[in-house]
Amino acid sequence: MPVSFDRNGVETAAIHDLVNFTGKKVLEVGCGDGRLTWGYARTADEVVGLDVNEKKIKAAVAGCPQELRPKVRFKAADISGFHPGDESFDIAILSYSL
Amino acid sequence: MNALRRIHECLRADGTLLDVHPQPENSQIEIWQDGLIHSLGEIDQKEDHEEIESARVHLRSFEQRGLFAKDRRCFFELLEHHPNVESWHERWAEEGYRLVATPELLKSANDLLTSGGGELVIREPVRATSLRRLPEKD
Repeated sequence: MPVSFDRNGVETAAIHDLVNFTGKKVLEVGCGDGRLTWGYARTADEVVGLDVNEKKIKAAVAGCPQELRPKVRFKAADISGFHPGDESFDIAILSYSL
Repeated sequence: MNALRRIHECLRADGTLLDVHPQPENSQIEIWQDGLIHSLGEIDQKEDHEEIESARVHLRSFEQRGLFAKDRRCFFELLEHHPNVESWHERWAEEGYRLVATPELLKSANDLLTSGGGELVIREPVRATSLRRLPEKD
């Protein structure tokens, strides 16, 4: 039996209740292995996930569902060193990354 | 440059910050077995609580400076399921979390899982807040 989280989708429902992700461009800081990302990325337009842990980012890339690959990008980086260039985001998620 | 300052810069003028973090409360440990829930008690996460409180103070300072305004907030429990105690230890070590469980709690968990199967469940209280980005004042 593998480790699992939020089987009943309580966390996913809570964040959707707070924010409308439809058509939005999202920056997720502390995305880890993408556990939270998969819960909203389907409705978002585009997602950039950042995490300082390279191993986690590799797991996120590997675990990204096929249908989300065109619109989800991951980067091993700290937000302080993240230079989005001309990019700007509608939503930023700061998740479990104190 | 700190994270919240950079996030403020990365967001569009009408953007939203969604802050999702644990509550400064201890997580509860349970064993789920054949339709029964055995509550084994809580783990001591006092040191984490201090970090959480400090992060909250930092976020509030951005609200006080008029860079973000609280919109809505909700609370929920995040459940983490493990097949055994070792899995819990491995995962938390990997995440860099402190595991401060009493030997008695760990023994109870091990004994129950070894004798009757089931799974270990960590019940963590979480707070999620949406905040509107406000323009920086000159």
